Amino acid sequence: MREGLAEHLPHVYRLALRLTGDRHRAEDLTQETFLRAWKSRSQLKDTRAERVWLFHIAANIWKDELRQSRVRSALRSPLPEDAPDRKPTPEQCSELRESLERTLSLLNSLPVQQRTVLYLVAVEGLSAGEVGNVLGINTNAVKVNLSLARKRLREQTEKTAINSDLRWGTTTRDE
Amino acid sequence: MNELTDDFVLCDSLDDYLAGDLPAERRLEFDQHLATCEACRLAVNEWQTLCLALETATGELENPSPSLLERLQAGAAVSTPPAHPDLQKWPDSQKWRVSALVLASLVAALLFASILQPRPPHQELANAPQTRPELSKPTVAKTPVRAKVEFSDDVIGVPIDIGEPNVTVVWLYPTVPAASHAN
Repeated sequence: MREGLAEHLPHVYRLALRLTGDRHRAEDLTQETFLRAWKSRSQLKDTRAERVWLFHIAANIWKDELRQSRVRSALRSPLPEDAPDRKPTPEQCSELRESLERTLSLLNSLPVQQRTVLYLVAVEGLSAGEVGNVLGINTNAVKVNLSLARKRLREQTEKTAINSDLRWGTTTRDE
Repeated sequence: MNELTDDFVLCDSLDDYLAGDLPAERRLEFDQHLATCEACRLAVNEWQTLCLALETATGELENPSPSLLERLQAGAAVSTPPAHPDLQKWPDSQKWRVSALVLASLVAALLFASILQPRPPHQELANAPQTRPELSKPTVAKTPVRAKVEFSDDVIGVPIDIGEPNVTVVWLYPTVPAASHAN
């Protein structure tokens, strides 16, 4: 477990970001996840499933926390744009970085369950069944959320493209 | 017509395919279906592009601060209870050896005590007259026994005189280097 700490940490942290929508809370959630996992490491039978197990712990902790503090408003808020490491330095002001930031911003604009499901399937490569286990929802709900997330992202991307065209004057009234 | 119907059925499996929820056989069918259905092929391409973009974006821009890893490593170290300082120095095999030696020492102490116990010799009993004269009291060794017995390199057993002629207590000292205790 301790050996896998550095390997799993970024993945658990990114899931925590999807769940919490806040960097500080994500760090706290990640820390709590690893501490709890460390205490109950004897329950882990299959070390290959370690990451999914950690995701499961993180999702449960966050669910408990929500139940207790009812900080529902945090779910809808996207990641703060003024985070120090998000401010692009002159070197980082490349087109690629901007594009990556746009992608992240689109992901974070989704409702919490959609963005979490999308992250776990698209980035972590989990199946619908595994995501269902992690989040405590059924497989159909996972698929519906995934489908909605894809649809919404497609719409957002098209809207962004149209806005971009309007801004640059490539779309005229005649079109 | 049948092929067309099958194709439509397969198109309906797109969400399951993307969610990794198709059994291997159906997945293979869908892979073949992609060669003929442009709409599904476009959707899968779009999905793959999205996956790559999300993976790159999260991997590049969302990394935990180095202090978080340090905190977690410190936390993991704290949550592991350290063994007793003396035991920590000894490897498991040595601990077992010491336990066995302690047990052996106790047995040796009992034997030692039984040897020291005064008994009338067998011959005297055989030649004893039938009429019972006054029995002389058994002589007890008054000089205290302080033999130093080495059982192995790891433990030294030293019999201690506690004033009881029939009981010998053996004190065991582990021969661990003094430096290891200092920590």
